[in-house]
Amino acid sequence: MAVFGRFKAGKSSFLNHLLVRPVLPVGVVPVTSVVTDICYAPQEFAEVIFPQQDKVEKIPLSEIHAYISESENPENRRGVKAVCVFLPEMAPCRQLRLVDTPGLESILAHNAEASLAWSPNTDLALVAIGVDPPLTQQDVSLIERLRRLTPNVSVLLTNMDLLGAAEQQEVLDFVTSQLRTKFPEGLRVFPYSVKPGYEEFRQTFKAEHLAKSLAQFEKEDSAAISRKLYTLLSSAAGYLNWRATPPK
Amino acid sequence: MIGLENQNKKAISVAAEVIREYHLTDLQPLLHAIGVNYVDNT
Repeated sequence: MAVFGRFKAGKSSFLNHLLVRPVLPVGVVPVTSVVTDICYAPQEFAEVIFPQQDKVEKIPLSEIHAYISESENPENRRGVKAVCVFLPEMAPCRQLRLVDTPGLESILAHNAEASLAWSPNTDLALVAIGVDPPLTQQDVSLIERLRRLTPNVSVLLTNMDLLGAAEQQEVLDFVTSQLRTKFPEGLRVFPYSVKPGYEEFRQTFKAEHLAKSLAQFEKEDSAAISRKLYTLLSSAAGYLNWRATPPK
Repeated sequence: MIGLENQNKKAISVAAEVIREYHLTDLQPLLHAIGVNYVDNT
C-alpha cells in the first residue's frame, strides 16, 4: 500500500500512527526525500538500496533519517534508490508492504520525480489529502494517474482534527461528492487524524481498508496487474496508431 | 510475467518490442512493474 499526495499532507505521520511508532522522520517542512518501504521481519533493521547494480547497505533503524530526510540528504545527494525498513510490528499483515513517498507540489521538484518514478510499482494506492484545502485539481490528476496503474485507489482525508464536528462532515461530504462526479465508479474516502481523541479513525481504516485488502489480497493484486497491462498495451498501441497516421 | 495468460504474454512481448524499437522510455517502468525484465541495449 503506497501513500502518495501533496507535501505536508501527513503521509509519514499517518504511517507512523498506523505503526504506533515514530519510524519515519516528520517535520514542519518537506521531510521525505526518498521512497521508503516498510515490511515484516522478525528483527528490526533497515536497508539502503543504491541504483548501482542494486547495491544494498544494511543499517540500524535509528540511522534511516540520514538517508530519507531532506535535511540530512538534501536532493538525495547520497543517490539512494529506496530505503527498506523491516519491522516485527508488521507481523499481522506480513503480505503487505507500506510505502511512504516524497511529497508532490513542493518547491523540491526532485521529490515529486522520485514519487512518480516509483508509482508504476503500486498495487494499492492511498492518496493523502489534507482538509485545507480539501481537494485540488492536482489531487484529482494524481488519482487519475494512479488509476491507470491500479483500480485500488482510496483517499485518506488527513488533519481532520483541524475542523469541528460539523465542518468535518461538510468537508467529507464535499470531497466524497466531488470524487463521485469525477470517478462515478466510486472511491473510498477515509477521514483521519493522528491527534489524540481520534482513535476511531485508525480503527475504521484498519477494519474497512487494511483488513479487507488483506482478505482479498490475490484478487486485488491480480486486478492491479491487469490494469497495468491494459495501460501498457493501450499506450503502446496508441503510439503505433500515432506513428501510422499519414501526414496531411 | 508470473500469473499472466499466454495471450497476455504474447501481447506484452509485442508491447516490449514496440517500447524497445521506438525507445518509449516512459513505459519501461510499467513493463518492469508487471514483471518483465527489460534491457534496452541501444
